[in-house]
Amino acid sequence: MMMTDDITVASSPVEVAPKEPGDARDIVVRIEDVHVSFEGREILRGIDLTVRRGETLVILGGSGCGKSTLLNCLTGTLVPTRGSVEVLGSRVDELDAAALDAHRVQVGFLFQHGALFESMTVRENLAVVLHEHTTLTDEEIDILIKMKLELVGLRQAVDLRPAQLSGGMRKRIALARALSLDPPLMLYDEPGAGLDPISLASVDRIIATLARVLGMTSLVVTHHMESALRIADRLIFLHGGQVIAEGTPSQFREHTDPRLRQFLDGDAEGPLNEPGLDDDYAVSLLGKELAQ
Amino acid sequence: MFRRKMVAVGEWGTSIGHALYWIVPQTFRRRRGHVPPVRVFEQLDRFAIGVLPLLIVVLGFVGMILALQLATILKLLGVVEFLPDIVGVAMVREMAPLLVGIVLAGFAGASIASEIGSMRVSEELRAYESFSIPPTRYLLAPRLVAIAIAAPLVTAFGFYVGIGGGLLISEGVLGMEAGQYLTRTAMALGIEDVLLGLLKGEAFGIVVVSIAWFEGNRVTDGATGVGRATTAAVVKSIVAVIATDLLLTMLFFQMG
Repeated sequence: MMMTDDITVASSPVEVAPKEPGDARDIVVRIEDVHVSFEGREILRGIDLTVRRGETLVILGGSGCGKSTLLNCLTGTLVPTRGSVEVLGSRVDELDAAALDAHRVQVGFLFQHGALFESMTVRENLAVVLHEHTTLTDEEIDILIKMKLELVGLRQAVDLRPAQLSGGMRKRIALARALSLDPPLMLYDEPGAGLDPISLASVDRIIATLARVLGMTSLVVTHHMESALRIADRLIFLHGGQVIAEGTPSQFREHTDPRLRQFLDGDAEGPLNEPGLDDDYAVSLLGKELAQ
Repeated sequence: MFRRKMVAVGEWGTSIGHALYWIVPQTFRRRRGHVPPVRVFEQLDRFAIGVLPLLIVVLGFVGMILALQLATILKLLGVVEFLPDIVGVAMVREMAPLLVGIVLAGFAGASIASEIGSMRVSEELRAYESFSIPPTRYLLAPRLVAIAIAAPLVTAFGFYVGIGGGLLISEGVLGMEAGQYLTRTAMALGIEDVLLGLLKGEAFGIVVVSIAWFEGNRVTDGATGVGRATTAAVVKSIVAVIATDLLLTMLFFQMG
């Protein structure tokens, strides 16, 4: 597992790369100079990132800073306007439709709200994926489903429907489904969204167990600082579509950069505030002449 | 604006093309790449069984109305015995398929658009994609296969209900015997009338499902978007059904 010893905090983009020399085959994700634009607005501006096998990298940042966009680049849902995205040895931004299908099977994705198939039972939610991508018999699939559900502590929920599950249970079932094909890389989009502290701790423990026991590589997008510091081997902080800080949890706790400090402390006032909002408010309220 | 509409039409065509790609050469393959039969049966239940009570009411009433309206004129002309002929032909060639199409637009079109739209909002469609399960195969293709099977069946059912409505009026109001009514109806109808009616029903069903899929699949604005897509699906389906009806009627008119 890769751990860096020094923290990088900079006002300009920094390259986030493992500091230890290692085998190139250990690199699961390599992102170089990635830019993504929508309708003239640049969401990601020159992201460089490397994630090694077995590492849990947490991506932090305010709303709209490009965290989910970065995950979508890794799944191939989004093609960057510039730069390269390499996952498990394949250039995702250059894959054709068939290769992209094969790629997605290797990348587990936990959606923010679980995205369970509502018309199916928990068993069917997992079975549909296994039927699709394996040649296992129904009996074998049933055993595998029970194993995956046991992993998230919800084996007894096998015949329930998503509507009968709590938010935390839905998230854990979705995690079991995402893990059904044993992907070497897991992407988590806000795994703690809408969860109470106990459910959140439970999801965190599963993520940590997967990394420790199975050596799974994980990229986690989250707003929950406590959770982030609990599960991360390394964290990066995105702001304005750029990586402005990276380091280990202990380094993040002690850093002095005011932007990161504001985010970690949850201060309403600080350098991360959207510029010009108050000016616009006066103009929209009073009109241009009166506001001046 | 025009460009956006052309792109939308292109996306609609691509979805249907994808679904046909899965349906035509690969239907019901056992493992990877098959259109799941259980999903087809679920949809068949919705299209072929769920719609029947509504069809009985709508087509039964329309059959009665048609018979009553025609009876007044035919009585004046002294040819009321032709009532079964006219009701039969009108029902089989036109009224039953058209009303089946409109009922399907309201019944199946609305439910498909809202269902798919909700799946888009809750990221279920993205989840299918993330597991490399094409929604066009897993969700659209079963609906198309089901409607292709169900539409002619419910149209045929509509023939009987509509003619039955006319029969009730003829017997109850005009005093015509049921046997005589049915014999005249059977004499008036040719196989080409029945085939045309069934073909129209089939075409309308496919039009309704494909439009509902398209509208549901492009929902972006949460619950409001789902509502808008549902309305758009029903309205556009009804217009498309009537336009398709006109096209097919003109085509068969030209063919004699």
